[in-house]
Amino acid sequence: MNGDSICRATVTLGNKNGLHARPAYLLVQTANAYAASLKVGRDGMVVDGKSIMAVMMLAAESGAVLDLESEGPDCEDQIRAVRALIESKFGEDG
Amino acid sequence: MNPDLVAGAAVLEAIQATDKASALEEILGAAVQAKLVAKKDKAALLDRLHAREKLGSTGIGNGVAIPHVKGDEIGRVGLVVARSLPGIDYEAIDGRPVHTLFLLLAPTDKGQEHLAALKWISGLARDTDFRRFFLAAESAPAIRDLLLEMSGPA
Repeated sequence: MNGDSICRATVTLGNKNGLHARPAYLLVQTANAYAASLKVGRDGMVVDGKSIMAVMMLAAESGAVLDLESEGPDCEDQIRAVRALIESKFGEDG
Repeated sequence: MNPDLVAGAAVLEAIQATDKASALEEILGAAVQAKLVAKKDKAALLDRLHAREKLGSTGIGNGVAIPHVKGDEIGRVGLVVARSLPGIDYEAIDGRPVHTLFLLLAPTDKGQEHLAALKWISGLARDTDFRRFFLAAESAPAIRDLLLEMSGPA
């Protein structure tokens, strides 16, 4: 087969406390449910979206804009799930 | 990373606890002793530390855990750094025992400082050299020196 698909999305963090430990964990857990790789970028810093330590390095606060780039056969599903998680504010606040 | 946070941290070179519950109690006790939090608040803070762990272990892997609690009764951002050479069964996300604990205490409105501290600790947790030097450090002051050295520009 000729290469994997790449999917991209841009999402704004809406939860009040930003990407602290629990949201970072949920994001990574969601990303790891798929085969596709995930890169999360923020202000020029790009990290592995499947590693909690890497994701916490972003120190992304509420309102931060995250660029998601997923590569793999199920990239669409992965991006959709990660975006839904972020848009749900990680179930944290209203 | 704010060097004041590291300079003011309580450092424990060898905690007694071997399980998660006793470890949380021991490091919070150290925070009380260092006057990072008030003794009267200890029981409530311990409950909240446990509640947070129930949402998902703060053992982020590589032998590092970041138990944390926020609250209006906490006056300023505080840190306890504790070491267990034998390791603690912490239900870490990678299943490995925890040797390095960073207890983070933050006032409710200090979300930004909390995120900055998480970033710093995550960087340390990923740093093989840091983990090696931390485990080899001979004393609490040596651990503090190492942490200060690692708290340069974020």
